[in-house]
Amino acid sequence: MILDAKTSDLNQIHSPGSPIKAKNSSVSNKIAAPKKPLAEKSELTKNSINNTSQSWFHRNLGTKRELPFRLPGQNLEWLQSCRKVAREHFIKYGFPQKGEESWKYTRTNLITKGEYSFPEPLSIKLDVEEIAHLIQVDKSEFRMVFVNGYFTPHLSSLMKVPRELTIKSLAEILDNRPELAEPYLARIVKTDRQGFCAINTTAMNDGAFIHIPANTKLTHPIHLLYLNYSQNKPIICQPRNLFVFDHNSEAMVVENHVSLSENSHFCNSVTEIDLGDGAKLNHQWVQNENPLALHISTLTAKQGADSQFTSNNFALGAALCRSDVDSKLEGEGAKCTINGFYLTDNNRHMDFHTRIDHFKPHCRSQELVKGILAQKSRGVFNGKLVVHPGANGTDASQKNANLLLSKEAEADSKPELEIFADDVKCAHGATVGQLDGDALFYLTSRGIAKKEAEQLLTMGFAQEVIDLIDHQPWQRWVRELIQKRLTHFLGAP
Amino acid sequence: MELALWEIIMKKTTLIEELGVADYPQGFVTDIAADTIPPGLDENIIRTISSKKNEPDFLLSWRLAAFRHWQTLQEPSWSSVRYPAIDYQSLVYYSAPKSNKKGPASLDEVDPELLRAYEKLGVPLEEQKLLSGVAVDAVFDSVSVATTMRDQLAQHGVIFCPFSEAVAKYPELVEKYLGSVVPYRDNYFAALNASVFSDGSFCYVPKGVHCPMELSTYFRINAANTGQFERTLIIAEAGSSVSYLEGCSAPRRDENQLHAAVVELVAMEDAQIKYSTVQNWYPGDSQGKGGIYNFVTKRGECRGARSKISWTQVETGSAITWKYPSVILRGDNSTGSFHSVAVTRNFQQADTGTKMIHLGRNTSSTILSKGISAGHGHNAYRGLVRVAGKADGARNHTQCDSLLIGSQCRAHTYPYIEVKNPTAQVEHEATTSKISEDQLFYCRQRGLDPEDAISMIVNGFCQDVFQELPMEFAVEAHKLLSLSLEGSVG
Repeated sequence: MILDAKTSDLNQIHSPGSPIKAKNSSVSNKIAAPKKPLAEKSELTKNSINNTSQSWFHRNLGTKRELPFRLPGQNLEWLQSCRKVAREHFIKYGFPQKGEESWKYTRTNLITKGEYSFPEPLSIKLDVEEIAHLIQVDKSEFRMVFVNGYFTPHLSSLMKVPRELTIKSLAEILDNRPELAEPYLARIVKTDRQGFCAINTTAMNDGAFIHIPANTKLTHPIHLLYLNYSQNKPIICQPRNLFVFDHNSEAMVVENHVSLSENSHFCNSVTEIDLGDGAKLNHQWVQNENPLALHISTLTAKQGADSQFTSNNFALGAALCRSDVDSKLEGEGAKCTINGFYLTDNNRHMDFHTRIDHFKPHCRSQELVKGILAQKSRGVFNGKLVVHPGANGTDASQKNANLLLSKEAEADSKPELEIFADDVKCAHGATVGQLDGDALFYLTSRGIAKKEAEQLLTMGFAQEVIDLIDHQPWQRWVRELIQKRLTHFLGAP
Repeated sequence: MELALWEIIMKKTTLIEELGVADYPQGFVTDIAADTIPPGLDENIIRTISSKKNEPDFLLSWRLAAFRHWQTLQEPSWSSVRYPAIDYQSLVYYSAPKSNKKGPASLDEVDPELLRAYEKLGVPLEEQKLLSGVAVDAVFDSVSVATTMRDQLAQHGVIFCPFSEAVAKYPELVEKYLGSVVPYRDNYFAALNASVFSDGSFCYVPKGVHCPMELSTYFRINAANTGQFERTLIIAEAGSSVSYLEGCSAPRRDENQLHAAVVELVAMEDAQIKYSTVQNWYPGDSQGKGGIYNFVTKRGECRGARSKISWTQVETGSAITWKYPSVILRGDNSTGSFHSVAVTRNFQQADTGTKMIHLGRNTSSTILSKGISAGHGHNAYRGLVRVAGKADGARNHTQCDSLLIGSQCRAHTYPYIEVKNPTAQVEHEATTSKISEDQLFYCRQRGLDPEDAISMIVNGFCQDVFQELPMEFAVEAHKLLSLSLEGSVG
């Protein structure tokens, strides 16, 4: 069933009863792999997912299809059942449909219509020298490098990892020590009605597994570098990460997504985080892929009492990027900070979604999301804050600000509050505007060229989020990255 | 202190329940003979309604087109309100007090029982008792029973009459403007209303005329099992201005009743329309039984340059309120505003807010929404601010605040902001909090009892909206608010 919001432009959302009507898709039923068992076919047709999802599923994950990689932990019953449930969810619901509220401003056609192939493991030969410019930020970091989603040991640097810590590839953990992952894997994220998360879970094979034992503080950051390399046909890679922080542990993790080729590729990553009581995670996510790349990222954290989760997200590249950062505050006194920044030009589309669930009393959450939108690009922010019954003493704030630099750019912002308790303090704000004319005038009156003044003010707008990175070398690196991009489309001063 | 407060609240609640009607004095039933058509909805019913009103062909075919469209639609489920499925075939779509003639020509011919009912509601229709400066159109179930002050208005060229009379007397105006702001294709309930609407108020203010008095309509649902589907159309020609008030109430009944109205406002160049609502439909009892489903589509269009439309609403009644009075800012330099206080208590639900669609240049809009949620009340603000690509210099400021009273209540905020023009300046802010202990302590320390203290704080919270209301309404709104929160807060 396709939910199709067929309304006039003005009433797309919420007149009482915008006629969202159900109709059967008129697209003919083209299934790429026609010679599949009959039982399989009826299973798919009786559940009414749309044809795009159906055909996508068959092209890429159908039973007859050989995946180019081995699925680790095939003998593990719990894991197979996770994969099976995810598969069933995808068969039932498919990709996000037109008219689905959480995908209101973002179309996934680019992804769902595309043809992708799973890359062969370790098919690209790379030397450390070739990626030297990406690993200079902090020489003493612990580094895991993934090429097209596969852990690549010779580019990584894990020699100095203290013995009590586990920083390994998920595939290795699932093969050798699955008991470490079992309590958490696929139990923190939802695959129900989450098409992208479901396909990641169905075929999950590799990614980063980080376990920090109790009362351990890691002084150097853990750098997860994802390199994507598409030769001819666009590839799909699906990193799957799991971070487990035991009580009172502390570490910084940087996720960095980069393209090594100019061709389009599709990255669909899922990260699950479990923070024990009093644990602290300082998380940075930087996506700087090529202008044809498609990127979907789902991150969900579960926080214990007095834990602290800080996530700074920078979406700078890709043609289409959708990033979901969710946190469940399940222990009293937990604190969650989610910051985001998107910088778009050309026809790029960035969608940043957050959801913070306050389940327990006295938790705090804070969000600052800023977007700079140039040319014909579009930026979307949707922040949802849910205060569940009994979560008294909640203190939450949320702020979204957008800077529009062109007539064709569009900003959509939807900060939502859902409150089921009374002893709470919640506030949110959203703004959309352009550079302050007075400030521009002031700068130019001091002899600063207009272009430079614009640069300064735009960079100043971004600075507020950059400053929140609590690690000097990484902060500098991100600032330079943003400065370079800004210079690129604002023109050199 | 918390405990003591709750004790007082509980005591007060029981007291009120014992007294029964104290919290909803408008809950009486008027015993009057009615001309009621059988329940059900099909083309024949629509033809019956249309023929009862001697409507011209264009209106009947419009109704039928709307009905055919409605049949293709599915009832929407995206909102945050929850209610059992409505059986549209079991509703009565037309019920009117029996009268000898088609519409009363003067007040003397109006059934005295009806006059008594309105007097009891505090809306006396006899001219000598009228509040000076207010013209009232009284709508009882499906028809308008009386309209006062018409002669005085006519002297200024202002047309203010029941909708069905406008259809008969000014069909060209009705045809021109009906459905031009809220087309029947707009949404499910607008389509339903377009098929079966029975009456409502019609107002036309000619060019350059400042309407000399407040216009008002009082809607009363009386008959059981009927739905009320009225339609209001207000047209303000270039350079004119009008202020319109709307009030409503219904008997207390254990069944839910549907009220699906449509309001359309058209403001031409330099015209101003001020639309105020004090909504006091029967909210259901303390267990959430009964009450009106108030599913209304209200929209105004600033067609001309420098025109202005403002919505002010105080929503204390209805089991469910689901509406978004909106403004389409088409004319350059036009202004829209929305001021709202929505109170939900017991098991009331409200999903309300506004849409401001900026199409013209230098358009500006202001949204101020205050939600108060008490008991098991459920209050959601949902609003859209859209700035189209050509709306240079558009400006919006939105503020929505929620006040929470009691641990079982809910308050949600869903703002949508869509901006396609870099010169736009759009700001949204929202806060949610409960009445702070400090505020209470301060008031009590000055000798106020907790109930007065809360009432004072809540009134202060709503002040910015109340001051937008015309005088008489502001007083009524204050009274309503304290009555509505009495017992549920303490």
